[in-house]
Formats: sequence, structure tokens, C-alpha cells
Amino acid sequence: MPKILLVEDNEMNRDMLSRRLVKKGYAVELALDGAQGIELARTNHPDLILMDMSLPVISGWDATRQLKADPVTHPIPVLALTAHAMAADRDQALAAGCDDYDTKPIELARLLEKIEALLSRSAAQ
Amino acid sequence: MKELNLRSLKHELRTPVNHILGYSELLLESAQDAGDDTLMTQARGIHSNGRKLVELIDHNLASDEHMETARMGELWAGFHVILDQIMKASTPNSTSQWLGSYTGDLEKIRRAATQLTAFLQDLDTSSHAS
Repeated sequence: MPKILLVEDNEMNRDMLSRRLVKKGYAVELALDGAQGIELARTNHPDLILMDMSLPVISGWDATRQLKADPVTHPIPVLALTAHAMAADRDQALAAGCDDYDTKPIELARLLEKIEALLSRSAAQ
Repeated sequence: MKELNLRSLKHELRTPVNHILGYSELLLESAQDAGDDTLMTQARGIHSNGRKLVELIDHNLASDEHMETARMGELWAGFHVILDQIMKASTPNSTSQWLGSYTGDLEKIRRAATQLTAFLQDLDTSSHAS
């Protein structure tokens, strides 16, 4: 069962996305801010991280930069999630080191495709 | 109009709309699993109205030019009509046999719609005060 770390400060976003991912067969761990996300990624080694970008304490962009700079967490795919549907947001997320990007409102089928593509790519490396 | 740039405004609008869509999709999945036609119809109605809100945001807030007060007034009027329909549709339906299991998710949809309505009213009040 692939383990996904969901880093999301909004309680309702966390609740509904984690429930839907669990129903689809993923194990989901939760972090409420960027700092907690970094800590859990280092200690629990998830297979993939879903990272909200507008986070308290440490932003999603900074958290991703730190994770990608650390040899222990560097290989973990990071999929950015944001409600900002602007082209610049996608570029900014990828520049921070995110492996892919998706916008809210979440379209679950589209998100699952991206998750599976990243997990397959990660497993092949 | 309250001081908001286009990026922030879209974020403030999209977040509760995301909740309305997400919870209505959860309800739809649960209704399908339970074979609850009443809840399925209810969830489809909420989701369809949530999609209309997304379309309103995408079509009417594509650029900064759309931030003109007159156009925003038109947009908010559309929002209020749809939010009213969502509030009505998310009232727990006593004919659903699984009502108790879904009340929490319906309540979260109502909370998101209420949050969005309050945000629009706040914008409107700020607009008249400035």
C-alpha cells in the first residue's frame, strides 16, 4: 500500500482528500504545516508527498526546497497542490523542486493519474 | 471594493468552492456505494452547482480588467443565486435511509457556502464604505 504524506493546513481540504485517498487504497499521513511536513518526510519516508503551497510556519515552496536539498528526502516525489490556477504558480512550484503540479478544486481522477505516474517513475529509479 | 488582487481573490473564492465540490463528490461516492438514490440526486445537484461556481470564477476573473466594480457586481449576483441553491440542496433529506452517516458532510458543504456568502458580503460592504 503506497504511503502518501499530505501536507495541508486547511482542515476541510485535509479531511476530504485524505478520506478519498484512503478509499482508493493509499495509506495517508497528515502534516499541518511545512515544518511538520519536512519532519515527517525525514522520519517516515513516504512514497510521495502532496504539498499545499500556501502553508504556515514554512511555505510549501520552502519546504520542497529543503526536502530536495536533503539526500535522504530528495528521491521522494513531491506533487504541489494550490488553489492559485495561474501559469506562474506552476513554474514557481517546479522551480522549487516539485515533480508535478495540480490545482484545486481537485479532480480526483486527474490527481490519481499524476500520483500513479510519479509512483511508477520513482519505483523505476 | 476590499483591497484584493486577482490572485488573492481567486484563492479566497476557490477554497470554499473546493470544499463544496470535494464533499459533494464524497457524498456521491457514498450514495453510489449504499445505493441511496435520494442522496445521489442531492449530491449531484450540489456538485453541479459547485461546477457552476468554478465556471463563474474562471470565465469572469480571467484578468485584472475583470476586477471592475460593475462586472464584479454581476458576478456576485450569480454567486448568490447558486449559493442559495446549494444551501437548499444541502439540507439533510429525511427520506434518505442513510441520513445519519452523511449529516457531517452536508454540514461541511453548508459551512463552506456560508463562508463564501460571508466573504462576498464583506467585499460588498467594503465596496460601499470606500
